[in-house]
Amino acid sequence: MDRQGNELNKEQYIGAPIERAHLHRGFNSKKTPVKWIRFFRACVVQREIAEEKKKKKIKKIWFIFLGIFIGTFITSPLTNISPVFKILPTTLGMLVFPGLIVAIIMTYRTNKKFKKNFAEGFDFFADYFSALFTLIEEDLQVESKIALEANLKHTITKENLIKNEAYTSETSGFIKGEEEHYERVISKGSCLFYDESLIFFQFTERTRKRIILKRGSSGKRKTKYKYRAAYPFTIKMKIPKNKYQLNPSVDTKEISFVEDDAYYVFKVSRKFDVKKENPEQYNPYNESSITAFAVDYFSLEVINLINTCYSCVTPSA
Amino acid sequence: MEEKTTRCEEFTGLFVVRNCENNATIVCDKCKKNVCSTHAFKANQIVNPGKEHAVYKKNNSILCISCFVEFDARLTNDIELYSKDRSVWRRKMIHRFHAEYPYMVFLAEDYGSLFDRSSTVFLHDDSDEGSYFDS
Ligand SMILES: [Zn+2]
Ligand SMILES: [Zn+2]
Repeated sequence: MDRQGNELNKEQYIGAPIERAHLHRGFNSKKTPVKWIRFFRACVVQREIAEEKKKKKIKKIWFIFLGIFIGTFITSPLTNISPVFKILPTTLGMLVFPGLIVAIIMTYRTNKKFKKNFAEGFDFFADYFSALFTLIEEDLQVESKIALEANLKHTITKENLIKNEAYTSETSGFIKGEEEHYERVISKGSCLFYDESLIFFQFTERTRKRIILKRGSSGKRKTKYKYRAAYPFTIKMKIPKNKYQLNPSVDTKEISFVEDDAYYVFKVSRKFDVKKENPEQYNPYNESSITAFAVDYFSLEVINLINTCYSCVTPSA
Repeated sequence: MEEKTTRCEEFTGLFVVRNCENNATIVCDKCKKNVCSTHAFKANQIVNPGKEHAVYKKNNSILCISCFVEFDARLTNDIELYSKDRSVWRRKMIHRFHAEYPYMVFLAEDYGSLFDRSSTVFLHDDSDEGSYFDS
């Protein structure tokens, strides 16, 4: 009972090699659920620590600049006491403009360095997969590992472009439009259940980017970008024939089914789509909408996919 | 006199539910079930217990996971997953899953040795499965 309620503290993460997961915007490994959960937490906490540090640094930069700026005004009355003091406001005044440039450059550099080292959007990934792995933890074979490969890069990049096509609209002012379709496999992996069923999963982001050139009410031409994203989660499950019998009625509309010598093989999918499921939360100007789904909801929906596969079989008595 | 070992009376698993294989070391102060240390929780860790349960907290009782989850009013969002409380979170989620989904469950004990862990040595090799999702 010793570990009850324990939380990992920040000190445990400093200097851990987790940063590489961010740097490479992904990882590929096999770990037990607990180790994965620890790894996810470490990634999130490390980023938090680095972000705190970054903010402090930027604050300091601007604090120094502000000091120079205010100093110019504070020191100018000193000139009235003795002309010797004139050197103070003059020097400080001369530093204001270069100081501003240096502060802007340093802020930009600090932000850029942080962005380069730490992937955005890791928190949702950590939350979703920690929840999912916790739910299946007891159904895995003892000490069995989950293989997981993750790609946390941006979806809207050249290599993820699947196709693009022309887009037309009847709205007033419309000049021309284009639609680009992107797809990125966020993660995929596999694990072995206690009953020797094999689970394969894949989680994908599909994004449609709409580029619209239109004439505004003032007559000026402008380009608008709109996004629509959906997230299919696919489960393939191989259930051993020596342990289960196939039920007579398998709904092949929802479930794809094949069999080999040793397994019944099922494939089911659940597409997470904010616009369909929760239209108020949908924002066409956001590239990604994955964070709109609650962790509980996401993990239960995915668990239900495994449930759906199991509903096709009965253990052999 | 030989000391008789008692099995933990809690269960594990979401789909293939089976009895916990650990030896019981603790008796739940509420339901008197024998449980192992994995399935035992300190009542003083309960956040906001109801009136009727405050006594367990006050007495520093040890509870089985079932009783603990029943008393623990925390929302799943507030439970840290990298801790022993992960199993409390799992129980809470399983309850929700049972309530919200038509649920398939196989009780291992109904099927004898079918789910016996030691029945086969199994090699988990996923290297040739990469292309499956390509379509
Ligand atoms: Zn109890
Ligand atoms: Zn136990």
